[in-house]
Amino acid sequence: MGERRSQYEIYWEILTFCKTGRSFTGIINRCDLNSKTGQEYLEFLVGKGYLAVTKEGEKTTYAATEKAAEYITLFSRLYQSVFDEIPGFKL
Amino acid sequence: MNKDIGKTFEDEFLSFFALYLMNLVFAALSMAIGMMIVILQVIPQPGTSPAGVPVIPFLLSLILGCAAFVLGLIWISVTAKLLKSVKVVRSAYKQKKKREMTSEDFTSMMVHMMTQYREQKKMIRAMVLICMLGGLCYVGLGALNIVQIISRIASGDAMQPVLITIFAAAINLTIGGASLLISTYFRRYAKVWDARLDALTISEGELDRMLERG
Repeated sequence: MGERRSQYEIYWEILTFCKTGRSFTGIINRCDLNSKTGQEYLEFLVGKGYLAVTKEGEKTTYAATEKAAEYITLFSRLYQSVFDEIPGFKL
Repeated sequence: MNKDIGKTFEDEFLSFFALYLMNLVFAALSMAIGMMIVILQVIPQPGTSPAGVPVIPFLLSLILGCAAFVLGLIWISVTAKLLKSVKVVRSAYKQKKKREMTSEDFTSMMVHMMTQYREQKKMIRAMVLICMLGGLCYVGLGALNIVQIISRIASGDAMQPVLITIFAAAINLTIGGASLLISTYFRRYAKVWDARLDALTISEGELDRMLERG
């Protein structure tokens, strides 16, 4: 797709998608990541406690923790304030 | 707050769309008229030129016409790419708008628009330049037309060729002016988004600190 997203935007996408438990494949497909970078992002978020890993047999799912909600809230607040403060383009 | 942001989105979409469509129309006009000018210079139409046309205006018209045609081609292809990308965001917004939009939906749209701008940044800078150069070609052609009008009136030419040249000058100057205006609008558009990107870069420090704290 070639979109230029920042790492913070990718973290936000992963965390909002993982509000309910999601598989690794589901996450990388939805967030348009390759498996290598997807693994790196997930490892970071799991390591920092933003994602919880659940293993049921061979199935591994990732779900956002309460800490993730704080990140999502801060992210939305910062983005909305940028759009609120800088007037949009008008003809 | 959501309603305000929704309104801001709608306004921005409408403005983007109008700008891109306007741009596409003028790109097509630029290409068509550029081609017409080249053809008229290479194959002069009977009765439209006085005998002994000065060489410099002829060459200048030919060069400017060629430049306008080539710029028109590049202009159309860049606009088509930009328009495709804007359509993707617009349809995503329409899809979300079908139901009550949540704060998350708005944030998602903002992220989408931000990444779209990062992706388009170089093309928009190119568009500012292309529109400006295209506009200058047409202003130049309009100026040449004015010189022709003056020389035709001074040499006591017939009224019909003078009127045709006045009409040509009006068309060239209108397209030139509109192209320069479009270039200004693209510059304004880039300014708004660059300011947003800069503001976000500052905000990212806060996100970084939160993530690092873990």
